[in-house]
Amino acid sequence: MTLIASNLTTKGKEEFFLNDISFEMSPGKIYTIIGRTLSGKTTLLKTIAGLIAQDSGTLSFNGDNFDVIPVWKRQVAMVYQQFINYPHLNVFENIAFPLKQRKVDAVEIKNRVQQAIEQVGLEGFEERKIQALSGGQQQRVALARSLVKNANILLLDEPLVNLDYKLREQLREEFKKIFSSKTSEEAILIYSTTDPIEAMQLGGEVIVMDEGKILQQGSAKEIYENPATTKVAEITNDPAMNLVDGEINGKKITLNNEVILKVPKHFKDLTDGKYSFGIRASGVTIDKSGFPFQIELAEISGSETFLHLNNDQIHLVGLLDSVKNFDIGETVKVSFDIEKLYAFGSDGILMSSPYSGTK
Amino acid sequence: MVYVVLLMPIAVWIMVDFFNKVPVEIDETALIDGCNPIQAFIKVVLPNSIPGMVVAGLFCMIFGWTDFFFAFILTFTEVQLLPVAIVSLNSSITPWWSLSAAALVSVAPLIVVAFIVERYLSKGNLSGALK
Repeated sequence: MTLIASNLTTKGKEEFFLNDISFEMSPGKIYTIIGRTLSGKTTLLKTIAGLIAQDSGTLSFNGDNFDVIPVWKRQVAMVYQQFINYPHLNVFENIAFPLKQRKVDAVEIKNRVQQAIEQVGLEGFEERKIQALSGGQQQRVALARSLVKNANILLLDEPLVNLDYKLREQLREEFKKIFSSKTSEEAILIYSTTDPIEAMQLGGEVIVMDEGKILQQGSAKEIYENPATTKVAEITNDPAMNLVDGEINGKKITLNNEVILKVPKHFKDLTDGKYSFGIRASGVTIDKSGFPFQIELAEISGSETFLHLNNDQIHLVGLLDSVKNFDIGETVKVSFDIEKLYAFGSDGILMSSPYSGTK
Repeated sequence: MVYVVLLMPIAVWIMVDFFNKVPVEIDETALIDGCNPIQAFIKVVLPNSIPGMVVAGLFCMIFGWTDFFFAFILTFTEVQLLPVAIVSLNSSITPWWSLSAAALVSVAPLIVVAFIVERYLSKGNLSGALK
């Protein structure tokens, strides 16, 4: 049971929605597609579902040509980012809908719906109208409806994006439990998101997309440690990885002619020259021996503070692992953890990473 | 026939607006859940457009019921529509009491219908409360 896409291309008037997409997916794994808005995630999911026909390329499932099978005959389930349910039906009827369509026996429908309701934690809500549920509960109904089908391919299009922070955290945990259940072992799970934290937390295989193209595919750890390009580094980090142009000259790194750093050990094989240096916010912090930067903005997030720093030419985001108030325009000394530095070539390709050294 | 021709555009205009308000994702979900396009329309789009059908029906009924112009031109003395019949009560001395009573009786069915379909109209307001 393998889903294979070969050179899928879908073109709009001017831009590509999907640009030569190829992949192979097998059951029992979560495939997380991460990309910014308009990167082609939803188009890809809808193409797999059969709701959009690609201009060129092929899609095959289990050796069969998937393109000739209409949507309603594909063994696919999908959860949208909007809470899409049937407003004229109650919770039970909503979840039972796909089974009734497949003319499943009434007793089996009852059992399977009850099982799905338990899986998503909606016991006691069977008779409720959809409008009488909260956003999180509505999304649980949509998820239960997609699980009850025992579909071969489960597509989740940013299912948590419209929920509040707490509920998102809670449902993300529950999703992981549901996805690791026996039912999901036989299905290919494809989850799209714009949130790097979500992508990393779900684990599994991560596919990074931008402008309709797959930029990188690999395990969450691999992508975190070795983002193939500056674009991947920006997309898969929150806040985006800081990228600063600079130069290696002997044992020194000069960032924008202003900040001078020592060359870290993992850069030892890099030749002198110009690079784009990357460092995550966690590698930029306040230290008395550092370089002067002005605070543009200080954002308190939970128990941390994100600092937006500027010194005329370099704009950075730093991270303090404590809560502290700063005045806008205040000057602070900033230091860089050189052991966390990445080097990208002028074409944006990763040259050296703290985890695997020079490529 | 004349009324069908006259009122069809109004009904279509109202219904198109209601069909357009059904999110395309609901339609797509129905297809994914195993409905072909016709089944998706009958089982999902149509039930969610009941308030629209009620509104369209009500509009057509009110227009048809209260129309005088075509009823006056196209009906004969043996077969008369209500507005024409009420006007024909008029004579040299205007019988205000008869006219008033007849007018009141003529709108009574509309009031009854309005009460019957009221819950569908209020349902229409609620069905827009999709999160």
